[in-house]
This record gives sequence, structure tokens and C-alpha cells, in this order.
Amino acid sequence: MDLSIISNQFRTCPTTGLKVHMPAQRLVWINAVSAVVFLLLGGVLALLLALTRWPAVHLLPQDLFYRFITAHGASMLLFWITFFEMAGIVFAVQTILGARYPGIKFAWFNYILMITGAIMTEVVIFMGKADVTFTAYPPLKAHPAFYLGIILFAVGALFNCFQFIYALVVAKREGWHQGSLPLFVFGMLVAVIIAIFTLVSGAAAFIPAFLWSIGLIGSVDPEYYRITFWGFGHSAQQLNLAAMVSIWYLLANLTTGAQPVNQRMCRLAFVLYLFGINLGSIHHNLVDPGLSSTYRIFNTSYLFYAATLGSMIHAFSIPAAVEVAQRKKGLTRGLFQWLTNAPWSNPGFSGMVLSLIIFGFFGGPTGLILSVEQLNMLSHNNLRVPGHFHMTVVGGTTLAFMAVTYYVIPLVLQRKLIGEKLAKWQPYVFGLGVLMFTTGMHFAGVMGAPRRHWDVTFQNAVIQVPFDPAMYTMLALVGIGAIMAFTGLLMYVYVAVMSVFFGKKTETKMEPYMPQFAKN
Amino acid sequence: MPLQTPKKNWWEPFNKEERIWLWISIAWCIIMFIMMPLGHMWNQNVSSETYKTNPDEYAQIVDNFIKKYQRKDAQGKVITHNGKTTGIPLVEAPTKDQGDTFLVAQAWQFRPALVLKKNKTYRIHMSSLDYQHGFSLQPQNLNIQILPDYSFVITMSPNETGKFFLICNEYCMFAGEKMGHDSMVGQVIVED
Repeated sequence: MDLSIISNQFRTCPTTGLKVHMPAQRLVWINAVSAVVFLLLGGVLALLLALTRWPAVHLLPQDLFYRFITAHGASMLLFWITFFEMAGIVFAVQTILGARYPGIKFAWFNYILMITGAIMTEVVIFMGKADVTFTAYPPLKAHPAFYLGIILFAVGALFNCFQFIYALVVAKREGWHQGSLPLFVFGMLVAVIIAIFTLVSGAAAFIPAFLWSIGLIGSVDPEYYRITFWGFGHSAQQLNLAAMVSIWYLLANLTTGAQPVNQRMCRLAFVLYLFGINLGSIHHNLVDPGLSSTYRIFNTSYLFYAATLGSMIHAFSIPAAVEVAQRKKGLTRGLFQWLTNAPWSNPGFSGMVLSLIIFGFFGGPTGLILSVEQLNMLSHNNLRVPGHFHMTVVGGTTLAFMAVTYYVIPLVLQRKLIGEKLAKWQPYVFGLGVLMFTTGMHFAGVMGAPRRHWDVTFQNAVIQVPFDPAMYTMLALVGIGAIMAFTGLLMYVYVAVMSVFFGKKTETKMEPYMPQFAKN
Repeated sequence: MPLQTPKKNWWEPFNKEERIWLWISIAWCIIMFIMMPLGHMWNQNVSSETYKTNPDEYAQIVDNFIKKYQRKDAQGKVITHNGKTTGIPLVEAPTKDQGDTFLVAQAWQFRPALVLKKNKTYRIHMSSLDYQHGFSLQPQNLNIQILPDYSFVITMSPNETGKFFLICNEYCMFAGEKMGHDSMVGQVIVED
């Protein structure tokens, strides 16, 4: 491509001084908007499901409950998070790295693949042709379009991942960037590498299932599917983790000016994610037939908990970075002035801190407990499991993504925020709501409540099961917490949608920008 | 800065606080790692004894097993868990030395209802005839995955008497208003 055309495609961000490659900005916009649409859909379903699990309300009929649980899982875990991450990787190159994003048309093609797949899957689910829940364990068979939709979506995402790596190569080759990658881009690169092997494992699960659903192969081995599915399903959460931690660093910097204290330590932690995490998906299969104890222990402990060590390092280095930055500003009185005088009314900061606390103190440790071979017998498939992963994926990842949106809209999408007052409260309302309903789920699970279960009172069963009455209180807490979290979600969607579509446009300052490190 | 290219030589030594934290973390990771192998010193582990089977074969085995060990009253009539003819048949399970016990999960029931003796050891096979199911023993909250085509063998010795419940905790479809995954319940009775 002609460099003189490309060099006129850049604007300068008035706040940060970063150079932004404008043609890729629409890509960030479309992926982020699609993500929020699926978040809203998944959120409405989540509220309905939680109100059904609350025995005193028991809102939905049986068929809709299982249909919505399928749609909720797909909308949230696949579509909301992945679309947002796709926006994130484009943003990492075109803004943070200040490089051109090559192959804009190809990226649009990927987006169309992904959105076609996503809509296809949702339509099939809502038509009632795929009441198999998100995991779709064979021999539960869904309509072929369900598997095909997920495969299309995953292929689009995979293409995007390769394109991101290509963009990094181009940035080096054409001299847009020189030296080590900025930490945020480095974190996103780790997420992308995890995404690639995640999606390959997903293909190993979904392609046989698809062939089986159209009748080309006779059966899919249930344990083979479980292993490959969780190679996809669990690793997908690890790429969310890498993206979320990158966003924590980004937010810590944008809100307090924090800088990584030791680059080597932060990067080492990301590398530990990369090498430790791809093993650890067998903790979903700890009480499955067909696996030996040695294999279970070897795989589940992530090879000496390398990934956990990574998280421990981030848990140290992010607060340390914030503390150093705050103390530099003169907030040095006592041990905690840096913390008490932190920008708590800035949703970017409060969202980051709450996400860190909910993920680090609740989500992570509960997950480690669940993945102990012996203890897993007490928790497999009961509500403790959703309790854990809602702490990580909703309280952690989703909240971090929400918090970063309040910066993405003014800085990247160039719109003034509408409803800033609402945004100030949003992380607190959402965070506390999530903490409440996940705590309810966790303890209901401890008392025996199964997951994905329409009716724990067993009205229709031949035998009545007497549960601890405290379980019903816990399930009520799930309902009440979900209402609160949903309120927080609506606040977020209101601010995001209003700002993106009706916010006051800020001026675009186009400035010619040439590769700074071109060789010739 | 996370947004900027780091200066050229960022491979710096860790400072004192970082080193202390790293060693605490590494020690903690090692402690966590040895917990699972250490758990094998006590007898509360997940079984890894599995046999390949198929639904037809397993259905045959379970039917023969139920016929052989069914609990009957004085007139030779079959006793079910609720006393009705439609109920789940009660089976007096053989202990480990006498033979194996077979449990089947099928949409939407567990068959048979097992009668066990306190402090005796049993080898219980479980498999499914259709979908994946979950064996969830309540109120102990003991959960095990049941798959079709695999016969998973659990060795257990009940140490309490009473009535226990099995609920299915792996989603296994539904039909109509009244039947489905959420109505799948079984029973285990432990006697002295």
C-alpha cells in the first residue's frame, strides 16, 4: 500500500497524545457495539433465570428455563466477551501501538462471519431446536445450525487472531514500532496466543459434533467431547483472564498514572499464563470415568500451579504500581493515604479495583478449591460451580470490560459520556450485586443445590428430597443479588448506548503520521 | 508505562519486596500442588476404575442384577421404594466379596434403589443408557459424573444409616411439563 495515503489516515488523541489509525476505528466500534447488544440480551436472560432459581418466585416454565440457560451461556461466554476482545485487539494495534491496522476489509469479513454465526446460534436456540445448554454434551443432540453457528463464529475469531499477529509483524517491518511491545499489547498478544489453541480445541469438539448432528458419523464419544470441549471452554476463560489483566494495567495507568514497577515481573506473569494454563482444563473432568488420578493431578494442578503463580504476581504488581504512582503525587501520610485518596468516584478506577477484588479474593480461590481432586466430589455440577465462574467472568472480566468502556468511548470512539453520574455508581451497584448472587449460589451449592436445575423443590419427582432450609434462603439471595446486578448492567448499557449514539462528538484532529522507525 | 514501549533494558533484578512476595507465592503453589497427591494417603479419593460398555449390554446386566438381588416380601412379591408397583425396585446389594452392584441412570430415573448395610464395602458400577447424567448423593453432596458407554466403578462403605437421595445434576433434557431432568431422583437406603 502507498505509504502517503496511510500516513494521512492518523489522528492524534488530544488527551493521551497517542496516534490513532482511523480506518480501524469503525472496527472497534462495531465489535464493541455488538458485544454490548449480546450483553444486554444475556443480562435479561440472566435475570429471568435467577428469578426462576429463587423458589419463592419460580418465574419461567420448564422448557423456557432450559432454552434460556442455553442462550444465556452462549450470549455471555461466547458472544459478549469475544466481540469485546476483538474490539480490544484492534484497539491495541491501532491506538496503543500507533501502527496501521492492515487488512481492514479482511477484518470486516471476519466480523461478518462472527455475527452471522452468532445470530444463527441464537435463532436456533430461541426456536427451541437446541435445548442442550451451552455445553451441548453428546448424546444431547442440537440442530446442526447450532454447531455450525458456533464454528462460523470461532473461525471469524481465529482469523482475527492471526490478523492481529500479522498486524504486529507489519508494525515492526514498516517501522511503526520498535523495541519491546508495550505491556498492554504484550498482554493482548498472550491472550491471542491462548485464543488460538483454545479455538483449535473448540474445533476438535464442535466439528465432530456437527458431523454427528448431520448424520455423517455415528456417534461422538462423550468423554472425548468433554475433554476437548473444556480444552476450549476453560482456556477461553484464561484468555479472558489475560485480556482482563491487561485492562487492569491499562486502567490503573489511565486513572492514577500507575506504571508497572518491574516490567520483567509483569511479563513473566503473562508468560506463566501462556505456558501454565493450557494444561489446566481437566478440573472439569475430575469425577469423570476413564481418567487416571495421575493424569488428573498433573493436569489440574497446571503443572505446579504456574498460572496461579502468574495471578499472584499480578495481584502484587498492580496494587504496587498504583501505590507508587499515588505516593509520587504526595499522598504519603500513613500506610493507606494513597488508597483512601484514590479516585474512588472514577468508574474506571472503582471498576478496576472491584474487579480485582471479586476476581482475586473470591473467584480465583473458589476455583482453586473446586479443582482439588478430592474436594471436587463435593462440588461437581452443583451451584458452587456457577457461583465460582460468575465471580470470575462476571465480577472480574465483565466488570473490567465495563470499566474500560468509560475510557474507550471518549478516547477511542470520540464521544462525550452521557450520564456520568450514573457511571460513577455503576461499578458499585453491579459489583455488589454480583458478589451477592454469587455468594448465594456458592452456599446453595455447598448445601447441595444442583446447577442447571429448574426445580429444587422436586414437585414432579417420585421422591421428595429434603434439603437444608437454609438453601432456600441462599437461593433467595441469588434472586435479590441478580436484580441488583441487572440494575447495574442496565446503568452500564444506558451510559454506553446513549454515549455511543447520542454523545457529543469530539473534534478529530487529523495529523499526518509516518512510521517513526522506518529502515530506509 | 503499559501504553508505551518500555526502555531498552527492562530485564531488571527483582527488588526485596518483589522477591519476598515471589517466594511466598511459590511456597504457596507448592503446598497446593502436594495437597492432591497427599490426599491419596487417605481413603477419600475419586475412583479411576472404568470399563467400556454400551447401553444394550449394560441394560442387560442391570436387569439381571435386579432380578437376582431384588427384595421380596413373604409372598414373593417385589418390594418397591414407595410400595406401589410402579415404584423403583429395591435391591439388596451384594457386598464387595459377594459381587458387584450395578446402578443405571436413564432419563429420568435411577434404577434400582439400593439397600446397603452399614460399614460393609460395596463396588458400585454406574453407567447411563441415554444422555450424560450426574450422580449426586444427598444430603452428603457427593457428586460423580455418569456417562453412556463407560461403566464407572465406585467403591464405598456407608457409615451412617438412613434414607439418602440421588439427584441428577447433569442436564438431561425434558419432555412436556411434568417430566425431565429436574424430576430425576433415586434412592439409597442404608440399614444396620
